[in-house]
This record gives sequence, structure tokens and C-alpha cells, in this order.
Amino acid sequence: MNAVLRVVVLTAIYLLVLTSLHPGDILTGLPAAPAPRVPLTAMPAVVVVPAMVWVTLLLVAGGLVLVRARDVQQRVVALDLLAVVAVALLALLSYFWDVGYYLDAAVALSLLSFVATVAAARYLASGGPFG
Amino acid sequence: MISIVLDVVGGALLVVGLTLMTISLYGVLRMPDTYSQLHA
Repeated sequence: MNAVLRVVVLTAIYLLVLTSLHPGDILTGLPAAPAPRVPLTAMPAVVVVPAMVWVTLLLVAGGLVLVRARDVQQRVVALDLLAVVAVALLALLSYFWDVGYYLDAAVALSLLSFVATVAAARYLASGGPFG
Repeated sequence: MISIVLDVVGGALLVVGLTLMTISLYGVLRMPDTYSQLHA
């Protein structure tokens, strides 16, 4: 019961932080946070906020996959999966905060993830990128 | 009217994407072989 209460409280704090703080303000000192594009009772927020929580849970599960990997190939697969989940979270945050540059970050992250996976596959297959 | 339809369609697509991601992550967690995990 105590653990359930702790999980509920942590989830509430997480939701509060996720929906009230704009991380760009803290990290980059950009201008004041824009108001959320939709009120929290509207239809998209009702879908998007649980989706953000769910994607965060998927991120934790992806970390579990990464920890449980037995060899290099499984770690490459797990890192690719984590990049996909991070791109999904960035896209959801971009929609929720109505800021476009999160999508730029998502595109850059997906491109880097693709190149990294291809390079790792080449190394594992033939010992070098041009071998 | 059209915005409500767009909201519902967007929410449905979001749920479909989350479901697919969840299924794939469950497959990567549960499948034993590396190639099976790639397939997931």
C-alpha cells in the first residue's frame, strides 16, 4: 500500500513537472514558456498527456532491454529501440508545447540513430565500415 | 466540426502508434534470439 501511494505521488509530481515546466527555459535560457496550445481538459491533451506518460514507461522498459542485453548485437538493437522511443517523446512534447524545434531535434536524433545502427552493423559484420 | 474530426483521428492514430511501439518493445523483451528481436 505504501509502495502504491509512493508511485501515485511520484506520478503526480512527474505530470506536474511535465505539463508546467518548459525545459528549454532551464537549459537554454530561451524566452518565457509558451502556454500549452490546448487547455488541459480539451480532447488532444486528454490523449497526449497519458501518451507522454506511457512513452516514458516505454523508455524505462527500453532501459531494461538495454540492461538485459547479453552481447553487442542485442545492445545495438536496444539502443535503436531507445532512440525510437525518444523520438516519439520529442514529437509528443513538440505537439504539447507547440514548439517546432523539438521536431528538428527528433529528426536529427533519428538520422543519427540510423547512421549509428548501420555503422555498428557494418563493424559487426565485417570488422570495419569499408571492409 | 472538422477540428473535432481531426482531433479524434489524431488521437486514434496516436493510440495505434503507442500500441505498435508497446507490442514491439514487449517482443524485444521476450524474444530469446537477436534476430527474433530484430524482427520484433
